[in-house]
Amino acid sequence: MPEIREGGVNVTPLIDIVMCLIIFFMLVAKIGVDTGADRNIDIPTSVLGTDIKDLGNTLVLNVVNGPTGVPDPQPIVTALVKERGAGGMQMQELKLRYEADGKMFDQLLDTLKFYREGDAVAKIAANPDFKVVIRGDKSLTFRFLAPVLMDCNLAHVKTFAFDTKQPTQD
Amino acid sequence: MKIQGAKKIHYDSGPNMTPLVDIVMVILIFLMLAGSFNTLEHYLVSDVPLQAKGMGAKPPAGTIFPKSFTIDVSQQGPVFVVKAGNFASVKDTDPIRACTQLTDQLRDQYKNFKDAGVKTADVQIIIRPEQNVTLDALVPAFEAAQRAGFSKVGFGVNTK
Repeated sequence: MPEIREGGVNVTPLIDIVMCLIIFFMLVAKIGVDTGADRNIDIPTSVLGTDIKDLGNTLVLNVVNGPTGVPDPQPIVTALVKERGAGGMQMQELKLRYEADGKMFDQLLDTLKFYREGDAVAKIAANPDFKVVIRGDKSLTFRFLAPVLMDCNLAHVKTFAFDTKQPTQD
Repeated sequence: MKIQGAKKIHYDSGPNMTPLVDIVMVILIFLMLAGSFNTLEHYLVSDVPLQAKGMGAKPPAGTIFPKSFTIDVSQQGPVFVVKAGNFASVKDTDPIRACTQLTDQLRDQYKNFKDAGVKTADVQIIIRPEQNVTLDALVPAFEAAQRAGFSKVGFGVNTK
């Protein structure tokens, strides 16, 4: 009978558990996927809801109430959008109304059209299945939500979704 | 020649696992910190384009408009008032509770549509909220319509 000498602490169970954890995290965690969702926004709760598996075809719009008491109040919309020309992604505020060179522009509408209808210069094809996810704050009023929905309509975005959280068990 | 009867064989506990454990631990901590989970969020999806008065994209020629009704949502102080067509009306301070009641009333209407032989998949619901209604109250109204079985739920926007 050979003599078996113990060489220290048996690490086999540790490795087993750690390997299981690694496989779990690799399967479940989404690494490096940034949809541009602003985690500081307190989204509303809903019981019903579906999980959008492929968020690659969507644009997440973070929408909060804009300043009131101004003549034409507009919501504050931010999104992670493609930089024109550079090709990278950048978090930007998309103003619904701003004036430049004496002309009025709608950055949100332009961006939605860019994704929905494509861009020949940026070599982006038209995308009829393009979706918009609205990540609105609980306190977002319809006054500020309506212009965003209106721009979605004008850009011919057929599908939009509200980002909501599942109710807690307590 | 000296023959040893039994040479002692020493079995170590195997290969040195320390570097493996180090690396695996680093990978584990990286995954725990870098990973994000979406298990706590889900989406309320609408495939209905907005119905807008005054401007907006024109529907394609030949579009058959399905039967539709509106859900009006208003906020009178702390009370949320939700009215659907002429068959459902709910008032409550809690928007979620209000919309649970609305769901039940809409379910009855859904059954009426079915009994009347109307294709319920074609029934379009337009939610028309007042300007001061918050998303917290809108989402339950939107949800109530979907929970009742209606699949085409959209928002109505009045434009000048």
